Amino acid sequence: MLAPLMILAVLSIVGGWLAAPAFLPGGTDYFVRFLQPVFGGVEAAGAEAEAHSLELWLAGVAVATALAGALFAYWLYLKRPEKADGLVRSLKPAYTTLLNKYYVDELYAAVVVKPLLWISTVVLWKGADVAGIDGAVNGIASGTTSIGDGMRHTQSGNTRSYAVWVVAGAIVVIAVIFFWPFGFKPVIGMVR
Amino acid sequence: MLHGGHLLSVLIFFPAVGALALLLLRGDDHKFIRIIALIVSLAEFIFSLLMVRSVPIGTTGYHLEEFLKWINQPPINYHLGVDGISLFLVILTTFLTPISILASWKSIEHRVKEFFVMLLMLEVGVVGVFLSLDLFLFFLFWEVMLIPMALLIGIWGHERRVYAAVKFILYTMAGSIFMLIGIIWLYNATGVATNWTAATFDLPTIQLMLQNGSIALGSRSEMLLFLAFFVAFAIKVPLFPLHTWLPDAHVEAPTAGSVMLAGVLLKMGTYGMIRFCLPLFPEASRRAAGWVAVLAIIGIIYGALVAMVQPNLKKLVAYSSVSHLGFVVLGIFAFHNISMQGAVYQMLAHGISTGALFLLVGMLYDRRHTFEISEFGGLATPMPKLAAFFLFVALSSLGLPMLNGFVGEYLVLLGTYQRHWGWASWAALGVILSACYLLWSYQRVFFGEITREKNRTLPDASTREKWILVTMAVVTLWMGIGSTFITTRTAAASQDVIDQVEPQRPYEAAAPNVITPSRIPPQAKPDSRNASPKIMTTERLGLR
Amino acid sequence: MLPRAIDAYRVLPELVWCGFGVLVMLMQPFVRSRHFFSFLAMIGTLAGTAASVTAAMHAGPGFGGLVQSDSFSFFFRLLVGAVAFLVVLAAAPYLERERLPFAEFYSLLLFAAAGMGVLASAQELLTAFIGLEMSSISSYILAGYRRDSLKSGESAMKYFLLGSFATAFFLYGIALVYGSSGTTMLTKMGSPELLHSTLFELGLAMILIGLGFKVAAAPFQVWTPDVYEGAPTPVTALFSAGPKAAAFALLLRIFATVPAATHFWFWAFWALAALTMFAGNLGALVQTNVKRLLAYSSIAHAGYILVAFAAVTSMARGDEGGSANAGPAYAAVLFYLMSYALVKLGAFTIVSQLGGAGEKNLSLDDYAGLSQRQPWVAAALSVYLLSLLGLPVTAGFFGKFYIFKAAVNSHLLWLAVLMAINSVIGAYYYLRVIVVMYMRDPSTEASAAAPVGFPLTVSFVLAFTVVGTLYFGLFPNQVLNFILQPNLLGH
Repeated sequence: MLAPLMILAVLSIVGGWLAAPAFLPGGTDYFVRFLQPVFGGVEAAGAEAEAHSLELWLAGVAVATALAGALFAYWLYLKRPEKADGLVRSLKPAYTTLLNKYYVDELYAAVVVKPLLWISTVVLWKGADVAGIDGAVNGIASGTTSIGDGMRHTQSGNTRSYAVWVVAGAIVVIAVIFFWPFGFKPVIGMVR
Repeated sequence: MLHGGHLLSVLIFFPAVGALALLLLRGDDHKFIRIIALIVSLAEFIFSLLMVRSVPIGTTGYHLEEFLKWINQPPINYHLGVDGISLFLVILTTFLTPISILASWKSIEHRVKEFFVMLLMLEVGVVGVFLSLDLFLFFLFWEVMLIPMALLIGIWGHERRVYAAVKFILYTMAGSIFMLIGIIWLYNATGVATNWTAATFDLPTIQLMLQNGSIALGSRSEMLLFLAFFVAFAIKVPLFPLHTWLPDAHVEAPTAGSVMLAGVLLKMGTYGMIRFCLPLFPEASRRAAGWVAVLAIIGIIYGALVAMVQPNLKKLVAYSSVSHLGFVVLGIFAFHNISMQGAVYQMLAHGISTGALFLLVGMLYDRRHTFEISEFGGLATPMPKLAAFFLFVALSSLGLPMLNGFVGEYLVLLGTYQRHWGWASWAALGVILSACYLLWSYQRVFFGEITREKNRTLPDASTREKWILVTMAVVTLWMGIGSTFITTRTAAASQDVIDQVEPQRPYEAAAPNVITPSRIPPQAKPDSRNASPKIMTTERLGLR
Repeated sequence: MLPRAIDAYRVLPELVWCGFGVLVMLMQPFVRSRHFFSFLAMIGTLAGTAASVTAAMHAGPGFGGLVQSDSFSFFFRLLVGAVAFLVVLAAAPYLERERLPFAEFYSLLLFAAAGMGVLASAQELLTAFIGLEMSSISSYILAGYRRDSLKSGESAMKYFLLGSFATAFFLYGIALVYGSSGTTMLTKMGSPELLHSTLFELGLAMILIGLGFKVAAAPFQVWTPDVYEGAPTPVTALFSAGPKAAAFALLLRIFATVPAATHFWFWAFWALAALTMFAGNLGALVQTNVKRLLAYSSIAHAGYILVAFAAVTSMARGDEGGSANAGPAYAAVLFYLMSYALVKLGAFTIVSQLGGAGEKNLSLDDYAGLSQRQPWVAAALSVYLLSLLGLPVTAGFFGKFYIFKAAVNSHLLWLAVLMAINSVIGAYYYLRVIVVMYMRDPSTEASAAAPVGFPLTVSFVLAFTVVGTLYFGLFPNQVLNFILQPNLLGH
């Protein structure tokens, strides 16, 4: 683990040096000149002096903050470790918020993930798919079977009732042939 | 015999010959049976690769046509042909069959001979569907493949196999019987148009007659006919809300059955939409496109959401099929060359990646005889190679770039966006959700600590399994990187279909066959005259 | 006038069948060997079938117009002869197993075949009645052939009572028709004022009722399940194929010859077809007895054929160019009858063999795991069931296809949709048998028992019907060319 870190540390230093602007001692603007064909030159029109001082200020503030943080961490955790717990107690709410990453994960879980899972399970899967669509499909099937079951009762086994069926059917057929209200021009059965 | 003339017939009937040969063998020499089946299916695959030479890049129309007068009255012909789209679907079929045979090597132990016979007969039916150019012949093969699939599910499946098999047959048959009425109606229309001198079931002839106006279908008739075909295909795809047979059929089928079902049978539905619904009924397709797209998008999101909460791993993959094929239908009905090619590509990619997912789930089942996610956990520890393959396949399924799923989904989204940005936005949600369920289930199954002691001693992938998975992985990668091999061949056929639906779109006449970087519009060019012709505003499309 | 020699040629098949029937009857007291009678009956049925070729070569009206020998009657005579031949083959082991007398069975069968032949070639109503009664009375006796079985006796009784009742309707219809038109000759009923005659209408309605009973059209189908279930299974095979075909033949001939019939009968056929299909399919859904299930399926298939009849009436009414265009619809009926007869014969043959002594094993549970116990038998039965279902590559699919085509051709789309729905409902119970055979394991006693033997004759029947079903499913051209010829009915 150490060897990669060492390599990375060396490269960090060298990489930073590559992009160092020209007005700093030792800087060569190498990276900017490298990308010049695509983005345009470093010698843009405008106030170079203020740009330089702004750059220097920004660089200085950044370095100073980093050094301050490093020194503070050194003092708090190495020199006076007992002060760390005191800080935690006095700054409890801020500490716990920061420790829990602003509770972003819990927020996601509560607002997005859990409702989505609930909707997917209850509404979509169990509700729509299983109960709704599948229920309709299986319902058609069982409905058809129950009609078939009901038809069984026409087969009573009694010959006389069979004869009644024949007579009833005869009457219906004769009625259809004779009294069909639309005359002999079929209406429903034809689709152009 | 294999050159030009009869290659397609050989492709259709060679597995049947193999099945017949298997039937004559004794039933208890399992090893010999498996080897013969594997050799037959591998030979079939090699034969199918020979088709590639005969489908030149950039041509439309059908190649390697075979035409035999079969029945005189009504005139039904044995008409076969292949074009850019069906070429790769046939190759997908012949590729997945030996893979399925290899996958079932150890897991099928009873009635082995019948199993492989059924698998080969299934291949016959499916290849026949993709190659038929006669409506009647198409219907014949469509119905013929139902019985082998039902028997595969019903005899060698899991607990609720009988329910799943019967549901599968009745559901599919209910759709296709209305397609039969539609086919007969179309035939009638050709008869009336030619005064019964040249009535036909022949697809290219009917297409021609519809295009040049010999057959005048009223708009209501056209919509009814479109629906008759579309419902049958929508059941097969499956399109929401006609999808409920799929989870049952997939879960209860044996591994080989699931691979063939997901990899190939579902594509028959989308293929039918491309081959029949769009070219034959363009006006009705345009009118229905909005509804179909909405259903497809609902399918994408709904399928993904329901997949997320499944405790059964195989059912999760089944619902993911619903979701992925929603992309295909969306791509088809966006009527854009790019999205159509994306749809075709997604068909192929889904076949490979979901097929591989089912293979992996089947391998897990072979070890633990369960599909419940809760029974797994931390499997990467005893089975690192299997876990690695599973991750690879899961990533391809969710559309990671450089793998095959990305090409299809991206092309579909790109084409759909140009037609209707709202559709594409909603569909893009599906990509996110598929990452959700795939990665989450992967984590629950493979990562973390081992929760059940039985899982600690599971064997890793055997040599046979490694061969299968490596093959699928290589194809996945190749399809992801070298997609131009396929797109150059499907481009012309896709454009042909689009042209028949929306002929008045001249800007696409000059569309290139391949999406190369030079066609992507350059950034920050404010001049509208240099804007890429591919980006269309709604006014220029003439929509709404 | 005296009958001429040529008239004998024109009814030769029926003469041959009657002759052989009498011969078998006469020789019964003198010959001990039962197989002799089987052999004689086989020769008799085949001779009659060959004689129908002779009759077709001498086409024309016979006996002064009472019968007509033409391609139409040739087709049906071939069908009836083939059915009778196959029933003879299938019945021999059954009769032996149940220890029933052989000779009477075969003579009754031959008489029934003769009656069906007369019915198919009759061009005059009383001749048709004779044919109807010949086949019916033989059928009544055959239904009750297992004298010591209550079910068989019940079946015969019901068939006889209800059959006579329906025949009475038929006769009364003939009387009314004669009264209104002055003739019973179908060819002479073409005068236009009959189109407005109420009496004629009523007479035709009665004739339709009588024949509707015979073909098991709803609401006259109530006798079918009981009679089919009780009769000895080879007899049920005969019932499902023979009399139905003959009665449909007569109906078709009336359609083709009497213009008023198509004029009056359209809506009746539409309603009959729809009712019959649903009655048959819905009733079969809950059946657990295979014989009864096949009986209900017979009702359903009669319904499908009636759809073609509705198409015939619609087309021949002149809306679609007159009866010239009804050719394909007739062809649909003929093809369907042929494929249906083959399949039902085969299915009932298997049922009769597997039924065991006394027809004990008829429930679905007895078929569990048949694919593992007797794979070839299960495969044959599956082919029959798939043909009934209408799966492509089987002849049943082409039959259904032609009927769909006829229906769509005459713009009967609603009826086509109803037929489609019924096909799906029907698919369920056919699949159930296949599921039971293939996807369930045999019960312990069934797998311990020896496989049921299938003697040569029965195997021949099965092989013939399976090959026929698959052959006509793939190459229907020859049959189609024959039945689509324009001069099918000799005029």
